[in-house]
Amino acid sequence: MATLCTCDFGLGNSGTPNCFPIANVTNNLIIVPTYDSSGARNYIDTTATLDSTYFTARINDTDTSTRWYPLPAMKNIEDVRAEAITESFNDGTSVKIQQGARTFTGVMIKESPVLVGKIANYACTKISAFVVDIDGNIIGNGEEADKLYPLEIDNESWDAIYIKSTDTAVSKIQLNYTYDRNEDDGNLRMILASEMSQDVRDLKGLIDVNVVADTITTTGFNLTATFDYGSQVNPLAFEGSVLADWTLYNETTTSSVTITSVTEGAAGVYAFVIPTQTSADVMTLSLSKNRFEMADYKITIP
Amino acid sequence: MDLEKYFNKEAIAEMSFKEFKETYTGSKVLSTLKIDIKDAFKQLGGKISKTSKSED
Repeated sequence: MATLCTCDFGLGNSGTPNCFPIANVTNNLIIVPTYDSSGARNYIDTTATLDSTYFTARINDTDTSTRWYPLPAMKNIEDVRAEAITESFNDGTSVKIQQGARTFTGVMIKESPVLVGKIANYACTKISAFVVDIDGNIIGNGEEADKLYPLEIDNESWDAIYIKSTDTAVSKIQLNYTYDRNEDDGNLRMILASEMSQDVRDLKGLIDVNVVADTITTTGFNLTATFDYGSQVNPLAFEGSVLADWTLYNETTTSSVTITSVTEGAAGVYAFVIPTQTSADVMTLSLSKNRFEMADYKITIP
Repeated sequence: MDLEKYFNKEAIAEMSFKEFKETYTGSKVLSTLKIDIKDAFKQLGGKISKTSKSED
């Protein structure tokens, strides 16, 4: 952005305190939609208690327009601002027109191509990023008091590339993007790790769960639950789920169904026992479990 | 109780032991928890009828 000059003030004072926090190199990014569904910018309320409850709520937010999407740890970070754009004149002088763009490059080591497919789609909407440094501080835009905004990304520049293993290098996902031109380095601020009771370097994003029901009867069904990850023959199983994670709703009678039991047999294969339902009734099965997300699943009673 | 992570106690209490046994015999959860099917039924509030030996 261009520097806005005002004519009726002196220079900004250039003294600095003896000791102040400095951000370290990036550990990982937390991607956040820039705007929520009402059109308001997402931010961290820095007056809130920043504990595990706060961060768990952000990651498991059912509203995808305010949810946080932490990415895995990154290496080989390059986060540099290009030289300013200037106009040169015949007498050898130049005039600064605007500051150069700040570009970011980093790699995530030994991650699945599945993740590339998921994060490449982030370019479809306006996104921003909180930067978590290796000390666990959160870096963002502190242009307003009591708020830390994520740094806005030029989503048209967002590019995630899968780099295959070679004889001498492991597979990786390379992420490249440019910050929005309105992001001013002078607004960079931090929430210190010591100001949060949760280590934000440990935050993990949600994992998609896919389910297929079979052996459906009026009193139950078997459900096979897997992740997008794993082999084409054997996707990884969603294991360890319990009764409290599931809810069942009869769409035909518009009433909740109290599930009698959910017991896991083979890994990721759950036997659901339910009160006797009427043939042709349509049921909706929902999952509510931290760190996982499943689209509501329809089951028709035979 | 671990059993209540998998079973709805109120719903099981409405079942007969015969129904419970037919439904959950061979359940991996019960073998993992190392619990006898009759004990599981009792712990979940099920009532075993003394008059119906066939249920045992």
